[in-house]
Amino acid sequence: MGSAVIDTCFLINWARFSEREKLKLLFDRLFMPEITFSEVRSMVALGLASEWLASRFLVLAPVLPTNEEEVEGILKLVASHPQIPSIDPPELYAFILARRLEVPLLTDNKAPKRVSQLSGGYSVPVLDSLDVLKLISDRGFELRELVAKFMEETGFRFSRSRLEEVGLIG
Amino acid sequence: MGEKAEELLRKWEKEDEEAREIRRREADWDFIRSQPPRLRMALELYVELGDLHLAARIAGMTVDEFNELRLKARIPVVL
Repeated sequence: MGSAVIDTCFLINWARFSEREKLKLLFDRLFMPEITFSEVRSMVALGLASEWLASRFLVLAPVLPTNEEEVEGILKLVASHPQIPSIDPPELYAFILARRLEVPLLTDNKAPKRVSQLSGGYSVPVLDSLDVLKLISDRGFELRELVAKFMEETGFRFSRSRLEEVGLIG
Repeated sequence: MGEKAEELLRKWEKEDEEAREIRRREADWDFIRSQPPRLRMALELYVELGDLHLAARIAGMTVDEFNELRLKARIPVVL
């Protein structure tokens, strides 16, 4: 097991998922940049954050000075490809933190994953909720059931191509 | 740009179009139309782009607060 960086979206989505504790089968510690934590406001997400902070499963990471060239390079990549959604400062910082710590970034935002896939230079393992559910299923759980429950409880849908990727449709 | 990158960009365009269709189809349009203008614009933008950060900014909310509104509007997050 190892650690990972999470962003606000991932925390707020998983706060509604009744099987969220299964994340602990994959990771022993999650880092969340303080800058992203300030976006957490709902009681559901704050409740989960408090519980995980108390058990030190979740750790807030201080904001470190960013490398201007690194930020500029990522923004240039985003600017030159309309297929990559805009990347907000908290999201950008979570991406950079994951890269520095050399751990995966857990996020349901498409921009970090696409930046990572398109540019070898900013390669960071970026996992979204479906990737994480697949990893959990590899530990002996039924993927179809996990996905169905996740969709029902969090208001998510997965595209046909993503479901094909994880083998749920042929 | 290499062939592999071009292929990725095409794949993403296709995925985004499919995601947009799903959001449009499943959204509760009566709820969206009943919202004050600023929130309605933010929800409509979310249906089109699926960008939570941007929509939250339009709504004047944090992403967490906007996500609660998204759930009420029955707009799915599509991956």
